[in-house]
Amino acid sequence: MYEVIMYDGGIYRSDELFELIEDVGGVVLMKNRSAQMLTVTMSIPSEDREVVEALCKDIGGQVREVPLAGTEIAIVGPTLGRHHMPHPICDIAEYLRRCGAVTVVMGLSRGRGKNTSQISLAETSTIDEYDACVFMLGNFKACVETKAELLLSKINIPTVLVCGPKPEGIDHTCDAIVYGVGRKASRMREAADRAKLEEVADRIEEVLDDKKKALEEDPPFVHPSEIKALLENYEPIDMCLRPAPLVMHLDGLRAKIPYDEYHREIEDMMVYGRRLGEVCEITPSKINDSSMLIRIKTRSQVAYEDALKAKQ
Amino acid sequence: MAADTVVAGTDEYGNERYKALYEELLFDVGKLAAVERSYLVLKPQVPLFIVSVKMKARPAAKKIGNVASTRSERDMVYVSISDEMYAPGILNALWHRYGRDNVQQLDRFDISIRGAKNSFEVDDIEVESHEHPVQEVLGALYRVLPEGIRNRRTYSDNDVITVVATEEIMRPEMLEEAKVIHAAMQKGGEIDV
Repeated sequence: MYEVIMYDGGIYRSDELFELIEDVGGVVLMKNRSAQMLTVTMSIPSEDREVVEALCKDIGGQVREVPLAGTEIAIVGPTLGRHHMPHPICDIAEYLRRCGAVTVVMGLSRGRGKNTSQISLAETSTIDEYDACVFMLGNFKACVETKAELLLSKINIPTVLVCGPKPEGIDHTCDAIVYGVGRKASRMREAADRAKLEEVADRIEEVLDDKKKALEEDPPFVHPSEIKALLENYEPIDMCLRPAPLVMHLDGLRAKIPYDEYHREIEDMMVYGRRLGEVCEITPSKINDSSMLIRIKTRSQVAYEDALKAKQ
Repeated sequence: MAADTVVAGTDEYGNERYKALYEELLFDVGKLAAVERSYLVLKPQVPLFIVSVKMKARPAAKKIGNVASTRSERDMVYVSISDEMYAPGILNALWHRYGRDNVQQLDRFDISIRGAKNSFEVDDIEVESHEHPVQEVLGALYRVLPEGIRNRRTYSDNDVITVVATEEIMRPEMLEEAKVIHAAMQKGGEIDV
């Protein structure tokens, strides 16, 4: 059993930490360095947690629980206009980031208004690339209910609706609802606001747990972290200057390198004696052509395709 | 804080939150203290939004004499800025009138001018038109109104500003309701719409 934890501390003696993670058979999921500070999200065997924690303490850092590690979450607002940004969307994104998730803030191009709000196919398919999404709506009950029906019902990933009033009759459009937030003109820094942020993180954790359970019934052929370890040393990824060039999803990864240039080389890489192209679906991202999505096929899917090949 | 903010609407939660949002946004632009009375009609199910604001005083143009003190010595006029918010505007107006070579900013608050006849002439230079405070209040009201409620009409007379907004077609009865509120705000009486 593996556990995901985060080291939060200085860069001093961090090489010892990376060596220990490798020695215990763990994986570094994400590493962020800012000046002399470092945060490392890692997946380590449960039995070695004590040793890793002791070293983290020894080198002057802290260990934190990160329940959302290894996920990428979209925080979606009706638009990117000043009526909806930066509060509370950016506050939610920042809080989820502290819980270990990689978050992306996005706004719809025609999401404003009540009866005229729309979501396009390009927007839904972009949102569907993520593990889950938090959708932020406003202060009026009538608007929230109308817009939830218009916008949320078209999204196919687990969705948490965050809004002001308690809406009615829209339970079928989303997986969870957090009410009492609404439109704000200032930061969520008061105690009640912090409690709401915690509630959003808890609801996200719950909906992702359901998704994880569904995945466990027919698990991916390889764990995403194994593909991450394989791709980390691939030169275009290694040389990529974008923050977090590899982002883990529950059932795959996002690699932030151009699809057209590199997908063939990645498909030809070997994992457990198989071509990556055989056990994964590699597709260009809907956002633009500078990144690609690697979705790992399930074990039954691979077995079924093997059976088909054997018949031929 | 605003002397009086009344919110009339059908959504209890929204009314309360919009009152706070309205006051917060007006406070952000520094105009909350200048507002005597506000009346907000919020009908999200239509949708129809009316915001009417009565200012404490009729907005007037600001001149250098209102925001700085001036004195003349020999052939120079010295300006000492008392409200720093207007410093860029003062400098801009002086540059425009006397040219950059004749206007020198000595430090954060002090400016010397060569070529001005006397300090009264400098006092009389306008740094902000009477429309500017109205534009700032209107900007704040547009931020208060939901982004998608784009079909807007504005009434502005003396010290009362009223904005009526809807999403699609602006119907005559909506404009009529806004006019009634606007007139009642001007008279200072009870509003019953």
